Amino acid sequence: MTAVVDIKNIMAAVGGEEALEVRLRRFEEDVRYLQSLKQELLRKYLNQWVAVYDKSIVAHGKTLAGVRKQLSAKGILPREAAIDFIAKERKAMLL
Amino acid sequence: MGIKGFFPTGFHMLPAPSVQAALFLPRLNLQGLTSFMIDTGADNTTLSLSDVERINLSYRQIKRSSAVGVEGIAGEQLFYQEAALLIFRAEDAKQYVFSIMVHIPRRGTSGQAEQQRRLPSILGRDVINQCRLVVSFHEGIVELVPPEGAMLPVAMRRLL
Repeated sequence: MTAVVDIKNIMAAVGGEEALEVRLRRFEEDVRYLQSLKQELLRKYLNQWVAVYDKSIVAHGKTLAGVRKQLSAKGILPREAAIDFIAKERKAMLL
Repeated sequence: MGIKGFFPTGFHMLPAPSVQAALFLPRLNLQGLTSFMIDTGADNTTLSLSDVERINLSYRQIKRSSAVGVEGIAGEQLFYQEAALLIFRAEDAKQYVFSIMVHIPRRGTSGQAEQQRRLPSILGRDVINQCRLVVSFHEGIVELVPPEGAMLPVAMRRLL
């Protein structure tokens, strides 16, 4: 019983199951869309942060803080947008 | 049906398996959508600095007593821990919730922070080990299969 209450509260806090399904699906598509624009982004926005929301480029800039401000000004929550740094050089990582 | 991910071609990193999830921090009432690189070499799920900033998590809100040292190939780094829920969606629209202690990196100097922001958030073995993980780069398969027959996986029991 406790678990049912907990999960209901959790789901309510994140906007409900249906809304979360829509948000997550849109975010997955935006992440893939951002990757699909690779050549265009390298040409236009090299060394910039780029944000995609609802399959559109909605903000770009030299700093992540600047991109977050642009998103907020457009009424888009930065936490909902797919954001990546566009760099030509891909460094190997060992995390 | 499993949680599907993919191999981003990458702008500043080489292709690596990734999966998307909703992150919820109950104590701070913060949430956001995050892309995680799946890393079987990581003990813990860890947020990138850019995702910390995307979800508007202020370092003033973090409990300093939660700080832990984490050993890595580059030496020991300090991370903060915060109770978190990760929610994934499967192709059949089922949702799976994992209760974890997410690791939050200590922010470095401004120059270091700029580099930190380019690192991905990492899905560690605290989540991976509760699932079956299927990865094939050549076939383009990235799939996390949660425990069979349960919408809410084993991890939810910790919420009781």
